[in-house]
Amino acid sequence: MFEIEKKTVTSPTGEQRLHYQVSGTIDIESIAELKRLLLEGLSSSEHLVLDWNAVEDVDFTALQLMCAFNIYAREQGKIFELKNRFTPPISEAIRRLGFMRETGCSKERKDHCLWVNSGAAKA
Amino acid sequence: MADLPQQAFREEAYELLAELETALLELEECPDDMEVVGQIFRAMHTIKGSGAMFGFNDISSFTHEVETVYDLVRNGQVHVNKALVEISLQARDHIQNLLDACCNGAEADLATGTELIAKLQQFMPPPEPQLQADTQLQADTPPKTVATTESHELKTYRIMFKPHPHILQNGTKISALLEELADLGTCRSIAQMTRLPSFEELDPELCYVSWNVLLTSTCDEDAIRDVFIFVEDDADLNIHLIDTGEEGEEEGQRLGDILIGRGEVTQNDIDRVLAKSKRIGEMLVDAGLVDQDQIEAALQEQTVIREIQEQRRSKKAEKMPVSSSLRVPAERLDELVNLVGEMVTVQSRLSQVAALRHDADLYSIAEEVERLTEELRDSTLNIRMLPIGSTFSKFKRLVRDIASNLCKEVDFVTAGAETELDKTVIEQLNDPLVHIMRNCMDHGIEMPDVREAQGKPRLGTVFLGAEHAGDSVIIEIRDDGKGLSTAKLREKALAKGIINAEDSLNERECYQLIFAPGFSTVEQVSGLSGRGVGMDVVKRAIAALRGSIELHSTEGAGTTVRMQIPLTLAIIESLRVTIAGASFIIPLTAVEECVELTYADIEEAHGRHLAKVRGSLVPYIPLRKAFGVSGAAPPVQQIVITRTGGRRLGFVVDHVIGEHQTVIKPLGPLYKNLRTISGGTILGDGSIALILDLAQLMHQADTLEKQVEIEHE
Repeated sequence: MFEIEKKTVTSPTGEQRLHYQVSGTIDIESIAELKRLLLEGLSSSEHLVLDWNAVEDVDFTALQLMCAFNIYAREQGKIFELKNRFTPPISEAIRRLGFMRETGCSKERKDHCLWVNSGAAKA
Repeated sequence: MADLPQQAFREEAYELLAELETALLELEECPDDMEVVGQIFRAMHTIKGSGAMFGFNDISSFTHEVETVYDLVRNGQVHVNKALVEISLQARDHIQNLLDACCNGAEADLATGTELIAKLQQFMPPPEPQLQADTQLQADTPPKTVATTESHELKTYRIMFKPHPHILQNGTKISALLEELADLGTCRSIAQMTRLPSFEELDPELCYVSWNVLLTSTCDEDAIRDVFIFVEDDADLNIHLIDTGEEGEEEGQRLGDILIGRGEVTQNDIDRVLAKSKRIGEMLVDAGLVDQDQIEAALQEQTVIREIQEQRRSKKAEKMPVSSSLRVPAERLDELVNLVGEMVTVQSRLSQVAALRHDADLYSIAEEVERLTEELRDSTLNIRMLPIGSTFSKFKRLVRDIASNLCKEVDFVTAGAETELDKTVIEQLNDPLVHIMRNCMDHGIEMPDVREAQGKPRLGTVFLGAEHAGDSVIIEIRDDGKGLSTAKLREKALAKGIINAEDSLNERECYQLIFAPGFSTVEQVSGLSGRGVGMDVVKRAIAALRGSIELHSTEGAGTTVRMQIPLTLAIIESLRVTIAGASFIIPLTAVEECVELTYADIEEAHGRHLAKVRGSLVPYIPLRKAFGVSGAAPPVQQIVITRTGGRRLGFVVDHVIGEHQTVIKPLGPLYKNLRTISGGTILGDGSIALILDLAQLMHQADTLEKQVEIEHE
């Protein structure tokens, strides 16, 4: 089960971001709740940040949901950022579940794919 | 000659059994070390396989049973504990006994094998009820073990696993399936997102992902299907063997070939797209023939195949030196060393002749031959050099078994296992080391309760170390046991008549008593030691190796035995001296310096055999007198000052000729009682020089001195 701490952050340029700090484990038990929170968040903000720094483990439903949400946010013309997704335990889960990519996938090209670990820009 | 493969198997099996013993002892210390478990499994697998191949069926079938248990250990179904290691060591000994029996033509002890198998089976997990039923139904089917599903070759499979969307509803954990696959070998998974719907349509509790898994393993397809056995109705599964692991498959598969192989494009599609100048993956995506997922999976596959081929190439390269090495019987090496010895002698003669003839050409050839002979000698002697570590691992087992017999707790520590010594020296060191180790364990290390009561840790320590010191090796055996009591040693020596009541002995001399024949301080003779023969035998064996042995002890704190052993027994660097025209050889390692001895010096010492060397007095032995040589000594004699057994002592000779390569020849049984001479050598002119045993000369001088003192009293 995961927990979310929500806060609104204003950037120096005056842009408002909705920041979700997630902790715990994201798996099938709680995945429906995460989908609801993401939809809710994106409907109330132009820029949603999901921070996985305190996430201990994820199963493939979490990664699957992130893929779909990443595409959805872009289609809505909004910004979605998944921060700290390459911490050691999460990197290990991404690799184990076969989500780590070099060239993106059929849904996302390399520059948009969440799982291409090409540097700090996306992380 | 017909027996050669069997002979090769025996030699290999003995080596593997030695490795197995070391690995089992290591496993006892680190029961979770899967690398060691792998080593044990591989050693047994090889013994089993080669045994069956060469007709050693008893060995093969018994080893198969032990291997099965270790396969379960490898798979995490059986856990390692002390009892399993104990039975495994007994099983290893049994395999060795079976091998010995085969070699000696004796009857194999199969009853022990049956008993051990029964004990091993107690470690096996009980069969699952379903499997039990299956076994009953298929009584004629051989029992399935992993060993039957494995081959030596690493194969690569492409596994396409497409779960049905509702698979998660029955509690299936996809990550557990992927982990189980990863346990079979090296695994690379690629999630395929083709079925992923839009976020709004996505039911997050359904599975839209499918997986392409590349598995490199020794297992067969059935083992892979077993992983998916409980989800076979909830998923589509396709398994393809894409690399058989056999030699010859060295052509790197191109991306297009892989996609054709996967049935995703045809050769025509490839050819058509290749006409454009873009990268093939990009072109195929643009052409709509494959999606990015398929390209990603194919790229991964390409990488895996390339890695496997690279590994195979490097393994092949690693094997090259092995295949170019030869197994040579030790006797042939001995023969070679003897021939090199002869060569050294002839070369020495050539050099002498060249020097006498004053022929510059001959002298130049002699010098060249000398240089080559020296290289040949060093190379030949190096072939015989082995690391002493192989002996150390035997002692690990010895210490473990003795500790277990005596209910003592002992930590065995070694150092310098890589130190190299001549093969013969290592072999001849075995018995003395066994004696000393047994003494340490039996007499030195106290019972755990006794140690605790004395404020010591319950766990005693026995140390065995080796290190190079010039052209010798120092071997040290140390324990932190009760040490030796000089009073007790003296008392015992008196009772045994080794010393007299009036003999005054310093600490060092008291410890030397332990090396006297028939000496033993233990009250009761035990099965391990205490028969009073051990240390006497040790001293003689070390002397036979031209080595020396010393013992130091602190009562209550422990004992240290230190041995200095020459690196080789065949050829030594030495100093050639003469006495009344006869040549003698002094090992160069013992020589510190040479000084002159004049009549004036002798007179100044008032009949005592003492020379003043740069301010300090050094006792000496006039060898003319010691050997009873008649005739007058030259007006200026030479003292060769040596250091033996921690003592500085001079040996007076007529002349010092110079350094000499000495090929040691035994003197033969007729001279076995000649204690002060350890061997002989043939000089360049064909004459013989005797090799002085400095330790014995020193001992003889001490005894004579004591007799003189007694006579004076």
